[in-house]
Amino acid sequence: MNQKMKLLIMSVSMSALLITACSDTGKGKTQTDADDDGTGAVTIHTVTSEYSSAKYPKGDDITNNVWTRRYKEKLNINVKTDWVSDEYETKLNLAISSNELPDVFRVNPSQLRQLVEADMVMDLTEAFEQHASERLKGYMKADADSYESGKKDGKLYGIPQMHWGLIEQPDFIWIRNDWKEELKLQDPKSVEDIKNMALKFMEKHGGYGMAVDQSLDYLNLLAIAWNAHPDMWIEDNSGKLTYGSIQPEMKNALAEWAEWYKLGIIDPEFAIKDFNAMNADIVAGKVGIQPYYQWWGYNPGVDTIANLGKDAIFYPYLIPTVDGKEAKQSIFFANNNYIVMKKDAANPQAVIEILNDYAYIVDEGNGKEKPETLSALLDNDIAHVVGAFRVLNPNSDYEQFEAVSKALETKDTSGLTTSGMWQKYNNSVEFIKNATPGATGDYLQQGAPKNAYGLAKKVLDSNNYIKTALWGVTPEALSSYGTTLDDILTEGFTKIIMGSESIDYFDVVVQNWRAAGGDNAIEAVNEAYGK
Amino acid sequence: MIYDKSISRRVFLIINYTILLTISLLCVLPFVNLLAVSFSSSSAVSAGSVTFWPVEFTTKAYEFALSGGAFYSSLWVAIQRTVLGTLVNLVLIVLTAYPLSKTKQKVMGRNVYMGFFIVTMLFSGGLIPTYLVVVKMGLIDSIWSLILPGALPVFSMIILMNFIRGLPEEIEESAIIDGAGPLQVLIRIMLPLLKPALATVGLFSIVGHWNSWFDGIIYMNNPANYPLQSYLQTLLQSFEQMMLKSGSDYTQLLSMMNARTGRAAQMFLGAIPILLIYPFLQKYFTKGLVLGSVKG
Amino acid sequence: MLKKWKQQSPYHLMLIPSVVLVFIFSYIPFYGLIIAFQKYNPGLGFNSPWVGWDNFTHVFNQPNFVRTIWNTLYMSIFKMLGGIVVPVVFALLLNEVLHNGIKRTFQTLVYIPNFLSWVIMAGIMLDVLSANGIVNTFLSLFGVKPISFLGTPSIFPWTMIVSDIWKGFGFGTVVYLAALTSIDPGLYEAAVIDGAKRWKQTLYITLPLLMPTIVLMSVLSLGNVLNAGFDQIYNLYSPVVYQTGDIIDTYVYRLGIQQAQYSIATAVGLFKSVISCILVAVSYILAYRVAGYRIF
Repeated sequence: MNQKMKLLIMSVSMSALLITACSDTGKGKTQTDADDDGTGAVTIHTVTSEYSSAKYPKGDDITNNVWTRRYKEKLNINVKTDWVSDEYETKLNLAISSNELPDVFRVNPSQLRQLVEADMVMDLTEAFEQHASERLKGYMKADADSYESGKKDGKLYGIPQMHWGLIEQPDFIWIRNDWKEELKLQDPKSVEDIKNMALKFMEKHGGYGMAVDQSLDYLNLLAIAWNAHPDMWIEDNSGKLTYGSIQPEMKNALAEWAEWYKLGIIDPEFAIKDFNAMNADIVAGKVGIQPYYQWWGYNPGVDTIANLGKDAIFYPYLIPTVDGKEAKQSIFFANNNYIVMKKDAANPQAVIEILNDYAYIVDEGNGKEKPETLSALLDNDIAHVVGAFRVLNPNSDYEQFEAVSKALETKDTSGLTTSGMWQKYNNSVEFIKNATPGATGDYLQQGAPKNAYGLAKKVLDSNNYIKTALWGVTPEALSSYGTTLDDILTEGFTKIIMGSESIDYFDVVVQNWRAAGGDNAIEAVNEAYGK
Repeated sequence: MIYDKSISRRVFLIINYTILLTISLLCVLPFVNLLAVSFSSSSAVSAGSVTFWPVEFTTKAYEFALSGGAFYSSLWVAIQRTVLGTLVNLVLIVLTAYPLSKTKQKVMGRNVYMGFFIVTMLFSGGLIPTYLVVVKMGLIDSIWSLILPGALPVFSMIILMNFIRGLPEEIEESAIIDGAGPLQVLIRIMLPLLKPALATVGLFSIVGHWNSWFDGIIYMNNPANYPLQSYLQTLLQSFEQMMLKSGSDYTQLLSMMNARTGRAAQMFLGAIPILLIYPFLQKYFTKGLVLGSVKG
Repeated sequence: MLKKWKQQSPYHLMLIPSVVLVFIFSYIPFYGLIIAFQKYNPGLGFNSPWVGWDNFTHVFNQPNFVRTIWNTLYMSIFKMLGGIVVPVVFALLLNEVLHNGIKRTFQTLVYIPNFLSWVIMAGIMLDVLSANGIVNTFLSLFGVKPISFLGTPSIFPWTMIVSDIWKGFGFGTVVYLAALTSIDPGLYEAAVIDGAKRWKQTLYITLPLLMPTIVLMSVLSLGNVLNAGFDQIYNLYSPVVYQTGDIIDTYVYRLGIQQAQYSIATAVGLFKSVISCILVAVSYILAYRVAGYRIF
């Protein structure tokens, strides 16, 4: 019996351990705060994702910082963050599953759809109508399509957080300047020019001519040179919506690329290189041409200048077409985040007030608030830690660029009214003076003699672009395939480029795409966005 | 062991050492590269110029990882979790393996128990239901959320069970004749004999607990409760995550550049403690038990 | 009957803690498997609309999914084979090292690759296996043209298999070394007296006595055969090798990128579990009936 006693005791204590573990939650949720703590202050709960590059003053973090204190002091609102996570999407899905929603939080389009379907979010139409400031409403007018995408049956469920503007979308062909100058080459005016430039670079410096990666994203953005618009939805001849990647123009682009691959212009190892591997050769100075986004200056720009010096700088050029014109750019729907509130949240107007305040600080604060206040709120990336509590001005980068380029031209800085403008201006000046690698990003985007936004502005002003017809939330039938439909195309196109299949294989690839679900996708998109 | 001094033996030994040395070198070289990368500047790493020696030596990656109290507090959480977790694992493994090593005559329903455990090795409810259970048990933000799910690693338990079966029955029988009950037999007689097996499964537990990061991120609402690897994970922005976010946050792009050196430093910091413990555990592997043979 | 129970109760009591914990954290979540038959909406939870087998048909009708099953099995089986043979051979070779200190050093060194995450290894492998990398430079000395180890569909699976074995064999070696130390030295002494050289000793004593451990590890790893290593493949594959390199898990991952596809993931997971279960059951029965090994 002694033995058994011991065993019994052990089993019981094990189970007791378990039970104490359960009650030992300690740091678990013990929120029993009433929404009103007696001083008339309102308490709102939220959740957010990490923002690792913000530099907080000592003692602050993402849940306790200059913004949260401002909400308390200026607006009498207590903001409590229930959790912060790096795996925000997953953690939010788990919170939704266990019915632990905070009062206000941001969601992606598919979560918005699911929450609306499950009737778990509040109808914000009235709250927004009554409490949103003129400025905030102005944002919604500036990008009415994004505003609509947050509605269902006319009711507003998700306030779109917007973006920095269409000006950040056009793509360019980036060319290494010192190589171009030494060979006395002209700016590329046609695709033939690019090809010849690449061959000349290869002759002089060896290696291959153009850097791209396995996703084909960079070649795809170059495809507009052949008037093809892959990855987006456009009208075909009959007025029906179809996918740009399967159009005949794409076939022309691919045929040319296969040619270039044979000539060694395209990196022979592109098919196994990812983003970082692709840029490694740029940073190492082995290749001089790259089709890329407007933010080249940040990455790989900074590393390239740091590694090779300021003469190795690349400048952007508008992508020319095969017949010598400027290519029409592809513009995509840019809003991916929405602010929602849970169904029975108590203070929707408090949230709107915070949104109004953010817009005010960013756009109107200069001159009205003390510089130190503004600096503490917006510099060092503190502007980005507010999680769900902001809506961006969809024209911000356009206005910013206008002000910055004017200031650089006239040396008159009175037009610089937001801290974003000052940062771009200062960094551009910094690069011009000292070629500081860290300033390369801002310089090449807005301050250089040949800069990305300058070209982008030209594209926007002259309307030389096409918007994708899928201007809003992706239909479920399409998103249920994830990237697997595009993968069929990527796989097939890679084979064509590398020469393991002839150009006629294109038709087989398209057929496979259709059969695997492409036709379903076409139908769904037409239903949602067709005429 | 009686030494064989013949020539063929000597030749064999030379070849053996050569092979072992080559393989070991192959295993170490990537680690050396990793170390070099962690001490190199990000632009040199981006250009791919780092092989076995740092280029443009800098300690920035380590400074970044070690700055702020978060590194040390998460280190402490990791130590707690690993020690507690491994202890719980070992106790449960031993308590489970012993009865299951007996036949169904000695322990009724033994096959049913076995099937019960094996099913969990093959089937899983998935992330969401497991999370819901953890929530309902009130374990969110508690260190027990990292220990109790998976408290019995069935794979390790089966290994130990087979080791126990390999021991001669006479040892137990003589103890039982002397009047010892099952628990006493287990603790006084069996445990000492199981040291190599316990060290083996103990190592698996330690490494498993030390390296896991996903559960920390999911079950801890407050980042102050993250164990080390979860914390290190949050320092790096993965490319896909960044591309999927709305708009391009340019500063995120900048911080992405430090990713490769950052990751290297992170890996190194995470691996060091284990590599230090490993040699200590090894003496348990190499000390054999001089007792009977392993039965089939 | 009652007497038997009283006599056996210590064993059952020992099993209680594990049974309780496993029941709570593994069995209760099994309820969540119904997600596989629903169109899961986190907001609606388990009340999400019922769709029967639709999730399964949606996935299995995709031609590129079906080929992933074949790819998964192909790479998995060879990884398993290599993952048994290489550690066994290495353990045997290591066992011949007489000096304990050196033995332990080798053992620690070969365990290092286990710590390097595949994210890090991918960067290194891309360099090492590139057209100008070390391996191809070495091969060029023998007049071999550069081989694209990561970009050729026929070679890619083998690159995965070999690198996975390289990374993991240190882990298996631990188990086999522990088993080796349990072999009674007396047997070797007797063999030497009978005039058997080392090689014969290995063949007739060591291997047969190691066999139960080998069979055990094989059957246990069979439960894993449909996994084939997501981390590794994900970090090293590219569209050009999808036809031989895309596995079930990477495909499901890409399916779920735009909207979290919990239903699909659970359905595929269930499918994998059922297949694994059958494989493990079959091999257990084979091991028992044919070779007399009772693993479970």
